[in-house]
Amino acid sequence: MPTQSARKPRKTTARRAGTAQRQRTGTKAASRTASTAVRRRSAAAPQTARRPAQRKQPSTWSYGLLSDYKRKWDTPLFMVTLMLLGCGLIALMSASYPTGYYSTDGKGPMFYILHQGGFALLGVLLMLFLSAFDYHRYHVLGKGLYLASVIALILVLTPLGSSLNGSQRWLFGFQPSEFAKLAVILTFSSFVSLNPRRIQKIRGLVPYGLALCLLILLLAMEPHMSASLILVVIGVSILFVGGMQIWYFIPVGVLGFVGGVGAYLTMPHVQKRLQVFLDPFSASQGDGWQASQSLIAIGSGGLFGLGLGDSRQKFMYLPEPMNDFIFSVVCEELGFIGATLILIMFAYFIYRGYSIAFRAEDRFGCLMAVGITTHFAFQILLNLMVVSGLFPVTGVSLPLFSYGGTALVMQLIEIGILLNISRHIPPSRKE
Amino acid sequence: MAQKRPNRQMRFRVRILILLIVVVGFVLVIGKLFYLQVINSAFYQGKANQNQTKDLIITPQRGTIYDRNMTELVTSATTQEISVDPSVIRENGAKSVEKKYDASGKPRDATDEEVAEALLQYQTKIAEILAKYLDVDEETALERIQKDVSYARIQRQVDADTAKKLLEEISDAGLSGVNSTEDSKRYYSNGQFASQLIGFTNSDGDGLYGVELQYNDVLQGVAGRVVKATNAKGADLPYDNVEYSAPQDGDGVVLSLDEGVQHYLEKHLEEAYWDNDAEEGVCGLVMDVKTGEILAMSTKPDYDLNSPRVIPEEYASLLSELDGLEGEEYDKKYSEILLKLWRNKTINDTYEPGSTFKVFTVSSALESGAVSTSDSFSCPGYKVVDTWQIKCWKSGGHGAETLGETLQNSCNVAMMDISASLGTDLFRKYFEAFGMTESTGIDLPGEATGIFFGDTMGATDLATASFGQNFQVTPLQELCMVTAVVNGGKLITPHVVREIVDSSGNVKQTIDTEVKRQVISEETSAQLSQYLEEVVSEGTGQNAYVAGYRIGGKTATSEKQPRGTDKRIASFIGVAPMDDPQYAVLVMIDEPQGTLRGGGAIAAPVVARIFEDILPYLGVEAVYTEDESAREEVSVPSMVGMSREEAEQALTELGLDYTVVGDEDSVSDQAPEAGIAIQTANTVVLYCGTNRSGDEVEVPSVAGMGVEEARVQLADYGLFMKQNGVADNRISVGTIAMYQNPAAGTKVEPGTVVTVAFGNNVTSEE
Repeated sequence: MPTQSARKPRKTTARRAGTAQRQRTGTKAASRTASTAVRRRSAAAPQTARRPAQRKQPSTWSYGLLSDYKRKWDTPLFMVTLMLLGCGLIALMSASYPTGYYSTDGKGPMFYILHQGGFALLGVLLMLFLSAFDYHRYHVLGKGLYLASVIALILVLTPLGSSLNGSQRWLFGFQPSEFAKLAVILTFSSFVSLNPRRIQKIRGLVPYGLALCLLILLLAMEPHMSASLILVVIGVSILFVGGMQIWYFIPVGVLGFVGGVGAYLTMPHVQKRLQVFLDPFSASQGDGWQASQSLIAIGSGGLFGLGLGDSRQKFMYLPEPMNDFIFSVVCEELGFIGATLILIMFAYFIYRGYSIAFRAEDRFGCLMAVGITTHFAFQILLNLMVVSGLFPVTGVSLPLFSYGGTALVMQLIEIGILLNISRHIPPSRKE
Repeated sequence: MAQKRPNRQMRFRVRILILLIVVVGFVLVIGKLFYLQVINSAFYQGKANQNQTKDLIITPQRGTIYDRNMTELVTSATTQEISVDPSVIRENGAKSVEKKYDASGKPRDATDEEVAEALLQYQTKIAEILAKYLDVDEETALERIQKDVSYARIQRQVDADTAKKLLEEISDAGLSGVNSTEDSKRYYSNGQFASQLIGFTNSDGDGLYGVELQYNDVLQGVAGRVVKATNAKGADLPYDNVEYSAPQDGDGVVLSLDEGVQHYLEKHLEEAYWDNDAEEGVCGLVMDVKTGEILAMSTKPDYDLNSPRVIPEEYASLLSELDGLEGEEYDKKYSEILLKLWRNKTINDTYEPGSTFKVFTVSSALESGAVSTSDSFSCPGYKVVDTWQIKCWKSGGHGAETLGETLQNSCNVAMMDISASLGTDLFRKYFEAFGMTESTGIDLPGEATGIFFGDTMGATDLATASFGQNFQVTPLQELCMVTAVVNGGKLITPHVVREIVDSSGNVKQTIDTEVKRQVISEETSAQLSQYLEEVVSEGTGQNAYVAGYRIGGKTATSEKQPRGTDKRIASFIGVAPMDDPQYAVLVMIDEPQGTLRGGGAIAAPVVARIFEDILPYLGVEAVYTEDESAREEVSVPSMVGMSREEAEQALTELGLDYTVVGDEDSVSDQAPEAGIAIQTANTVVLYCGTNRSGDEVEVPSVAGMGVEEARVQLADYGLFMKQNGVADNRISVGTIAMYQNPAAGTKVEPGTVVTVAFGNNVTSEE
């Protein structure tokens, strides 16, 4: 008996592997197979037929703009979003307390949380609004947003922009780079979904590359390297899911590796950065200060943590504890158990986002969901890896946790879009 | 234009993303957190503590040192330590820069030079105030303020008042960065008292000498700690619990020392030091024969425990050694002298004991059976040993003598004979048995153990050793040997501490008498005690006689190495009362410069005076023999208002002579006053009708006078004499006044009793 039952799944794996083989060998054949599968499934599910009927119903004005509000959204995503936002605000209150307390310009310990709380409220309202706003409209709006981002990124370099710590990133209190991220998600998703074949050729990828390069160029002038990196990852993730040839990654990877090794061998400061990264305590008073303070915060939290609000490292040891290193404070206060629970929430949140992409009504929705989720996923992981010493220190904030109004509002807007995509999931796939 | 749904490839690639990010990414991060927070947490917690906490030590109160009657000799008091935090000063100093305005009147940032100038000004102001209140000059203070640290001590043991005023002035001036923390200071209630025995501490409160060093662990207590969490700039956190462990105050130490006995010993040693101009100082010990407790221990010259690094002004001859020295040489000489003052001669230095060691030779020989009490000896004045002619101190010799007389005479020749019959091996055996080759085990630091002959001890070595020459022991070792001889033969470990008490005075530990071993039998001990008493009553120790008390003892005068420099050590070991020996006293005078340099001449009278003071003090009652009745003092009754006959009758009953001044019938005044005790040889004056003169008189000098001559001299001044010193039966033509108290020239009331000690003018070197 056991022999038989063990055999069965092996057969399944073999079959799947066969499918993957086919996909790799010929793109045309693969896409044909895929589309047949979709067709077959929709034919098998009679419920899907009801959807177009709903659209034909007479609608009021509000129905016109927010016609989707009656559709069922992905409740788990909404719930985990609120939970993360709640946790994030609590963490921010604790982490920002000393900075406000010691601030010389009279901010007071509650300054940061009140500020962030206001933005959170605004963000949640926008999220709810956009969750009812049919995402298909972004085919058009996306291009506008891209154009606006480029203009804003140019303006931010003019005296209209303001700078902090040597980077000119702010335009009237918000960061245009945050808009650029959404613009990339919307435009890339739109173009790829409308022209899926084009990106299978190198020539077809050129416009995307140029679009990214323009933004990267503008960001490089601020400078804002981490935002550029995020833009690239978002763009590539959309192209990847959209059907780009995977082997393109091989020369890029090789080139990157060679470049990295070359930089290490020729540039001493790169060697030093690597050295500090590998052993932050070797330069705990200098370049390794941030990394080592973060490790001390996390490590001293232990299994159960020092208790909510009882972090010590936030008292001027950690640089900007309410910002990039907020998770170090969380780890110190809540310990391994608390931190792991939050990480599970984040993981679930990301899983939910991809799940929506997986089940989306159409390719546009799928690709947008991929872009949005990857944006979160990449930024969350990069931040976590920085604070836990798995990656050299780069300025990446933790979504939904770190202090920053524009970022938080934009993140909630993206989640709103994601929720709207979830509303369009064919009922047969809703969970 | 409804799009197609995501195809299979897209969904597959979404799955890859889920796998890559959700599974691999998060597992990696959680794994790293697990490593940081669970596996390696202790390392980071250590780092965090190091990082975040400020550890302050609270000094415990050092324990009190008591004398045996629980009189506080050494106490600790809380003082303040003043320190600065240069980093805080730097920060606030930089902030103190005045607002600067540019040409158009707009505020601008101060330049680096302006900030530096403001900082220097700020630091200088603090330094000024510190210099004003503390023993530190402005330059030094400024130097410490400018250090690149977060703590610099300015001064310790600042009294609370000064510290308070200083801090007030700092805050009034709008300055900060000066801190005051609790500190403790040692107070020695008598200053220059038992200095070498008690010892002192350094400014950290660690004992450096004496009991302070020996019992440092007991006295110091356990430091308390405050562990405070601080922010990265070193300031306290606005909220956080502070870990506090209270300091545990040090335990007290109860000495066997008796404050009164110590005072008497020091008084007489001090006199001996000045009288004999002792080049290398004097030292003395009072020990309880039965328990080994040290009742008093002193070395002169000494120093003030409250300022141990200052040579007392009274030692002009020591200070004169510094004349003409400057700079480093001066400092070197100064500390050389201090080191000498700090030495406890009774245990830190060794000497050739001389004739007191004859007690050892006789008792060992008697105990071993090498000689018996009935043996007789003959002294021709010298003895030839291995072709060496070794002389007795008395040229012409002592002639025939009994065993007891050899000690009375302190005969060197007899000792050589006795040691020869004892033999080298037994001599060495007893030497070891009496503990002369090992430390006595006294609870004081730095005890020396002496030097004795190696395996090649020859006949001449034995001969000279028999009367205490050519080897060295400490005065304490010598005294311990004598106490063992008189207390029934038991060698006892001497000690200066009786009890350890906690800070509230409850006894935690009692130090018991420790008998090392029985060295000689009780019979031998009793025999030797008798001999020693005879040394005083009949022999060379006559000047140690104290009327009313049975004193035993042995004189010694030893020649110092190198021979021929004519430097001597005069010493005497006395024991009392001889019917039941209780106290032993050693006095040693190192390099006396006067004409008299023998132990019997200069050390024995000092021991007698010490006994005369301490025996009544310690409650040993005087018992006068018939021969001594003249020395007994009678308290003069109050007779004013009595009729003349009544008064005369009262005096006659007491055995006092009297004279009458005036011719009225009732007594209007008397000399001495009622209640004063005088010896019966004095004549009481009854004033009938007149009153005695109230004018003070100057005490005349009686030095060198005979007994009666002195008495008459004093009576002429309206003073009474208390006759001390040699027993009446030893008084001869050569008996002269050697000491008087009050000293000549002192102004006193008429009718005052002047104590005059007479001694036989022992010119001998014994």
